[in-house]
Amino acid sequence: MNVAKIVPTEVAGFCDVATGECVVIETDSDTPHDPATGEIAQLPDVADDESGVSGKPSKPPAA
Amino acid sequence: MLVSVHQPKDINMTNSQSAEATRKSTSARQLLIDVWGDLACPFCYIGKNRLDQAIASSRHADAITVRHRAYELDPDMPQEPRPNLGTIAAKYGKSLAEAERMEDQVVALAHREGLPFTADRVVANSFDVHRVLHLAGTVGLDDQLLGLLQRTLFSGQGNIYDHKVLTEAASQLGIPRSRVEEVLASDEYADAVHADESAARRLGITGVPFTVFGGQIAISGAASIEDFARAIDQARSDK
Repeated sequence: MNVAKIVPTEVAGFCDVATGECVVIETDSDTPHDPATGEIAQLPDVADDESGVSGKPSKPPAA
Repeated sequence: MLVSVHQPKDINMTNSQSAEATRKSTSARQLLIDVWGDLACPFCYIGKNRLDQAIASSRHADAITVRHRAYELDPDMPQEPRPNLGTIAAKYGKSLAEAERMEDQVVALAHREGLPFTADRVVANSFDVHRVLHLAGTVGLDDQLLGLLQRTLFSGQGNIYDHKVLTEAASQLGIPRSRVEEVLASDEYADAVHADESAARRLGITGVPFTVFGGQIAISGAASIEDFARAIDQARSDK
């Protein structure tokens, strides 16, 4: 499977598979969509953006 | 105690019928959505709720199949259930009160989205749960079973890692109890769980939930309903 990653407008959080940490995201609202087409931005390959989430991690709330 | 479910199915789990169900669920006009996640992951619960809403609002809803893919956040987690907050406290060297404050954000977020959620739940090794989800997947019930297990776990109403509770949940959906017990007494679907995790590594997945639409585009994390909806539309238009 060769997938392109979407950069979403808002992500509530995720759990890091390496550490098991679950991180709440404080969302930036200015990343995601091509203003010309309204399409969601795509990256060329999954490996190019390992986090895949916009915004800043705040604190690790859950294991 | 299990959260109640609606529309239980009466299914016959022969191998040929299971294979047929899988073929039907992934036919050419279907959009297959693969979601990697773990039971211990609160954002997989929140993300599933958002994805479900995006699918429900899609004009393609009847042509979408969601498939659970396993990713254990802690494969070394003991089988015996332990309190979530105590586990967090031990992991980060915090007091229980500090661990509770660390969970507050997630609890508040889940409650804002109308999801029953408590920090007072259990954690344990999820490997057997993933194996049973794969069994459910052979008849297209993995997403439904996952939802039931998440609601039961995160509402604090049950230890879904317990084989009896897990079996009861699966049987509520119409999966034969004897078949679930057979799987749990063996290593059946262990290879499938490992295959999911190998696929995740090949994809470079670093966080869950990780959602792949039609094998083409992906979103990492519990994105918004709108983002999931756009991804569905985009994957459909690319087919």
